[in-house]
Amino acid sequence: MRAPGRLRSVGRHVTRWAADTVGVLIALSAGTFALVLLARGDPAAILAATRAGRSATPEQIEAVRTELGLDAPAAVRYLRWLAGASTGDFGLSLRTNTPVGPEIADRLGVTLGLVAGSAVVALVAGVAVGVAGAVLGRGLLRGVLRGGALLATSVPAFWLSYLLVLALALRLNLVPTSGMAGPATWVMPVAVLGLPAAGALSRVVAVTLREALDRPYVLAARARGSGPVSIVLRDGLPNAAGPILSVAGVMVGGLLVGTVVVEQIFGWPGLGAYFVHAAAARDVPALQAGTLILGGGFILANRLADVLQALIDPRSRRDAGRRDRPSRRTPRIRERAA
Amino acid sequence: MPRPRPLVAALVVSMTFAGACSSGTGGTAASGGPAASTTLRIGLSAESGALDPHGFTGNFLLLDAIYEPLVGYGEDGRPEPALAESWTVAEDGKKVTFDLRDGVRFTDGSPVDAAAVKWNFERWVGDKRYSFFRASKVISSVEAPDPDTVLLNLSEPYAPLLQEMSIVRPVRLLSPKSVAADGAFKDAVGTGAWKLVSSAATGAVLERNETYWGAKPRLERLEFKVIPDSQARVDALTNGEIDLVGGAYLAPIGPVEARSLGERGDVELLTGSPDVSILLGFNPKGPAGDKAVRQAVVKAIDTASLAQALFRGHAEPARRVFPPDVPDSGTDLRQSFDQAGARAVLDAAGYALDGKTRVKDGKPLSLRLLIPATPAEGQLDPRTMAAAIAAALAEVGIAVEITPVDAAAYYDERAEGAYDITFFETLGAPYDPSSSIVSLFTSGARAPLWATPATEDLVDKALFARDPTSRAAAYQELYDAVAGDAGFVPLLYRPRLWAVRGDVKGFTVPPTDVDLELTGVTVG
Repeated sequence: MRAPGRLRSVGRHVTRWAADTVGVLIALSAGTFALVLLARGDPAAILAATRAGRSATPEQIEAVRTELGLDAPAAVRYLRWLAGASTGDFGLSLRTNTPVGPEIADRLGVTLGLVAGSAVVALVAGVAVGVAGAVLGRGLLRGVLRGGALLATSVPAFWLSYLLVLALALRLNLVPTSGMAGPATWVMPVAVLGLPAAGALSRVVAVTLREALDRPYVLAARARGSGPVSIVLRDGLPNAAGPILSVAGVMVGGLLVGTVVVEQIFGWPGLGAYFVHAAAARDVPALQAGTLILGGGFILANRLADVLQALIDPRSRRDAGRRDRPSRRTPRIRERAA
Repeated sequence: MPRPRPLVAALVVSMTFAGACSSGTGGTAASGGPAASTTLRIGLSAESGALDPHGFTGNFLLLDAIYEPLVGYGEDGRPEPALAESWTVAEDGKKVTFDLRDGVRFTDGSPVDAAAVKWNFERWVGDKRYSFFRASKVISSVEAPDPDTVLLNLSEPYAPLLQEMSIVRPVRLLSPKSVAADGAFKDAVGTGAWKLVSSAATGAVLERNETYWGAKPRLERLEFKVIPDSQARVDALTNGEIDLVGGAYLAPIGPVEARSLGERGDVELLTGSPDVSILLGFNPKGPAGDKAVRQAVVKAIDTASLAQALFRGHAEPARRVFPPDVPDSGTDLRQSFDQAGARAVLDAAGYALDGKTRVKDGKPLSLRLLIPATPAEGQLDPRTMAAAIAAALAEVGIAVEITPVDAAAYYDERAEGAYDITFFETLGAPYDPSSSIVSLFTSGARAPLWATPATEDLVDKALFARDPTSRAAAYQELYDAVAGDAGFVPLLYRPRLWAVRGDVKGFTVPPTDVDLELTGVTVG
């Protein structure tokens, strides 16, 4: 049972948090709107050309501009959009002339599936490699793992994509080259998106876990006769969870951004590919709504990580928590685990 | 003593397990094409969009497979009968009467009669949103005197009308029953050889229309698969996941991919006669306003080796405004690669060589070449072409500053004249030549290639010529006038590339890239 005062403070906290988030999203949408305005490329001209299947005359472009209400001042157009968006109406896509909301809803599932799958790959591979890196002594295996992690974080997604297609699809014939139909088609997109994140995560896990294993309570646990596996799972990882979670939050944001490339290459009809088309056509309503969803997802993932961290580690809820200085001693647990 | 944290431990363990299970699902081996099949799998570069023939977003080829026009586009660009068996144009050119083909029905069973045709035309005739389509403005009314006859009244004679009746959007016929009460498009129902089964973001499925009035296809099913990346499409083709790619509006093949496909034994690369020219245009405000500079540029570019270098024999160097198979494309222009001639023209005009670049009145002769920073999907990379042209011009002492801009901004910059030289393309079948000459040679166009009072008059003369002989002569006069001004450089005819897997039999390249001719095609 929590005290009522405690509840009130949680309520205040949530309210402030919501106001914060809405503020960030409004700033984000205004920024996107301004950027599209500043970018060269006239949506009316692009659309007029698309309709005709060829370049359009100035009169035709003006007609399209009037038809879409693009002749109003920018501030008016933004406020119109904001008024609509606040009621869940994101307007019509300039490119496809259909409501943006349902279009994005259709594609969101694809992208979330891709992100979820990649996050699982990143967590499993990242934590496994990270734990290995923390408990292994200096040696060939640890070097290989560290090198692999570095390589995974540094190769460009499109290059890795083509490499996987060449190896898994064209040479070994294990999976189809592209498309989204059945589990086999998930392998490459999820790997391309998940591996770089796994590489980054594994380094954080290795460093924080090694630090956690240096703490006195680990020594105490060993003195009680706990085995190395139980020490990593019960004492090491929970105490290293804070930093790992905050990195995971940022990671989800990175995965969302990465979908743009991966969906385009593997032909997945998700939000990332939608975004590319919208940007090319200067489709403001679609870009605005897409940014809002992606930005919102990014913020949510980070906030969720904060909340989890607070649940796990009471110290992060307090302003001043005395932290033990990590000692520089190499933990002797490694001799056991090796 | 630290408190145990069972929750977190459980979480970590379960994640590890879940991950181990889900990442362990390997794919079953990708199957190659079955030995014999009644299905053709076709690559598609973007999702098909709403398949409303009167809308703006549907993919041309799917619309073409589902819906038919009154008038078809023949092999040489001549109108041929489709849903209309015949037509007559009145003496004054202001009335066109169509005699409809008898007994044709939409796939929902409703008849293709004069009332249905009138209803279809009235969905776009006079509508502002179709102002790009001249016929929409010229047709003043549609009449249905009897179930078998449709009469179009025109506000003025318009010779290209019959040819424009063969385009895809918006002239094709939709079943009047397939719209909602408010007239909004609901179902894709037409009279074509194929009918729509399903359409989604990942592709579309069509099946044979068993009640088709014309020659029925031998295949039973078409599966269109959306693969946005052109390299990924080629991979899918060579891996046996799809059977057919190509065409400007279906699944374009770039020159680099064409090269790799051309070397394979199990894939057939087909080239159709080109219908689009790639041209280099000049901005008369600036250094290219000097005719001597333009003449030198024309002479300095070796289009034959350009075509060879960029397309490895899959493209021809251009010698006209329009490729030879476009109606009224005239005769080859008398222009040739002549470096010495280019230097001589510049010398005579007072551009003296100073180091590597020529200078006149203390100003170096440097041209700004505006290009889109990224190639359009499956098209030639403009950067490669720009580099080749810059190198050719440097040979005769003309410096080139290549200015890449974002693809969406490129057309705006070009319309504003932010260039000295830049690329232009003709529009391609079935619009040419009439639509292209308006957009290339009249100042009312958004970004003309070369527009002077003389070219404007000649464009009008060509558009409003009343008989074929005088029309051909007017077109030739226009081409000669532009060439006489050294107003452009014909670079290449854009190759129309298609590729099929070896076991696809009977596929021929369609007359235009908005058609897909599959009647005699079989697989395996």
